[in-house]
Amino acid sequence: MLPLPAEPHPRLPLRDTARCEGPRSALLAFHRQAGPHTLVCGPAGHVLAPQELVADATQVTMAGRTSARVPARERDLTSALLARLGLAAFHFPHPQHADRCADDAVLWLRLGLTQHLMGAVLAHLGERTVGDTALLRQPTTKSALAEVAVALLEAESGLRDAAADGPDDTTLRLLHRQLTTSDEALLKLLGANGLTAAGPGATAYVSQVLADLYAPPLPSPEAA
Amino acid sequence: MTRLEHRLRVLQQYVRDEAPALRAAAQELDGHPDGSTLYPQVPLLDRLATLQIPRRYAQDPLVIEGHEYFLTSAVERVVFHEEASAHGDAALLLSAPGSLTAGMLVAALGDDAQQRMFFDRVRARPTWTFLAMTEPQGGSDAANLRTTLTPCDDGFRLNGTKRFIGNAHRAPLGVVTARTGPGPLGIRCAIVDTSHPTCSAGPLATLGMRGALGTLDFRDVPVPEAHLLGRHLSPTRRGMWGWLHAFNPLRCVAAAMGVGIARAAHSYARQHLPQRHDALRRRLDTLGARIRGVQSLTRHAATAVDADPANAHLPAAAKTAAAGLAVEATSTALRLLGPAARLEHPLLDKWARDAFGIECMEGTSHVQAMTVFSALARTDTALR
Repeated sequence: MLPLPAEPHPRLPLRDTARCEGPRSALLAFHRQAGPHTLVCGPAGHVLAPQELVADATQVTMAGRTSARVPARERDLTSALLARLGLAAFHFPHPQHADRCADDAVLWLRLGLTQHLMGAVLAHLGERTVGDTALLRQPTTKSALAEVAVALLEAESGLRDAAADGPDDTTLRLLHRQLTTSDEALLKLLGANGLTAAGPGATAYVSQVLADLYAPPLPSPEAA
Repeated sequence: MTRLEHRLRVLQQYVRDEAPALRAAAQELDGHPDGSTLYPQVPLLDRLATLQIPRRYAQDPLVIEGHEYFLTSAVERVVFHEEASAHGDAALLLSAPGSLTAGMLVAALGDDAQQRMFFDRVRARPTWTFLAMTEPQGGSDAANLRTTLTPCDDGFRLNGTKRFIGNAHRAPLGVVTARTGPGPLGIRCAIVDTSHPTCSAGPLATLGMRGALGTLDFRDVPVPEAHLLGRHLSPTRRGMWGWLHAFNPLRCVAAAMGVGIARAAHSYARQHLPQRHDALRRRLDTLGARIRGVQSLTRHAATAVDADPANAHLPAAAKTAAAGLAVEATSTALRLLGPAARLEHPLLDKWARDAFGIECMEGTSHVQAMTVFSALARTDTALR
């Protein structure tokens, strides 16, 4: 990955866990930073976490407010695909939605996952040829990878330069969209290998579900 | 061509009426931990199984309001697959019995005896078939093809591994691309029966198009010489040049399925968005305009391929545009319906995963771009 010449940042360990170890380890780190037996909710009360954490947690936290879990009122949203990846999802009926999604941790996590995906793409393309030419030597491949690298540098710069209380919701939505677009570009380079449930496509899928659950929602009609 | 002639509108309406039954079945298959072992009985798919057979070998065309449909022209296939994807489900179409992909190769390269042998079997009862080209190490790059057909006393022996093959785990019969020698002329297609004990097949767990794909492994599988397609053709016509042409109509079908997925997502979002949210509805209007544009391009491509099967750039352009459109439409719908739209609207999540499957079908966008550029280079003196 191309590094930024910047100061250390408290979210770097989370990004690096995602980059080096992939989605499950990153999600473990993400929820554990909220404290023991605690799961982090998205702005509308949704949670995505490793199954063992969901089984173990007794409380959820959202925008700094912590509540005891009420399993009888929770709605399980775990799909067959998420279960296959060892993950669980549910909706916690939070009494009040967060005003804004100040926590940028999910974006750092997703940035690391996109870097993880790029590592998988580089490894895959490094072994492939078209005719007698290595795929990594093809101008179109170089260009596509460079564009993603630029997008990731832009995203990390945006995250580092955010205000002390985190980026505003518009910036958060934009950064989520940039990372999703980068994942899509990387998946195209993997071809059908990006489609397998056990392959790098699963990293992109988990990242997209995270964006879906943890990105700030679009403004309501009244606010718009 | 954007407006369909009456005969095609009749076909379109028939599919539109029948396709909704696919949707519930597709959700069940997608939600199953091992969907690859399931195959739901849906009348439209049973009917599709005995269509797409050349008129000469077909006995039971689809007849609606006095019109006959064999589903062998690219235009008919495009209308059928777009509508079945828009009102039903694209992944289930790929899992259906019949001869969509392999049949195109057999029709393009087979002699009379080969076509009769293949299509008689497909016509007798709903039969899954496969077209096995992609390999683990080289994808669909023909130059890197490693599967071999080696001559022996009673024909050939087939050795190699194929991956990402539609219905590989269900089909008793299909077409395999393999090398009989070096270079593009050394690539041949053969009809292969998978009942031989040294041929093994298995399902492939995927994120999108779940249940549709599998793998094939051949170890000294006997292939009679009579099963090698194109033996009546010149070496250039039966080799890579010949079978690449069969992919042009397939790219139109893949594009049609992409347009269908985009229409399904667009329609779903329109139905579930709050009426009062004008700003979001305007975004859907913009998406709707793009869908109509790609739909028109796909129909133009199909018409061009029916007129000249060697036309490669229009199907490549349509397939590229439609693959991007399907991803754009499903991700836009998910974003507008969020938060948690992927989990609260599992059908939309499924279509978003299936949309990437369109990108992978019949060559990725990077491969299609090369075809489009080749056509551009032929027409522009500055590039020659």
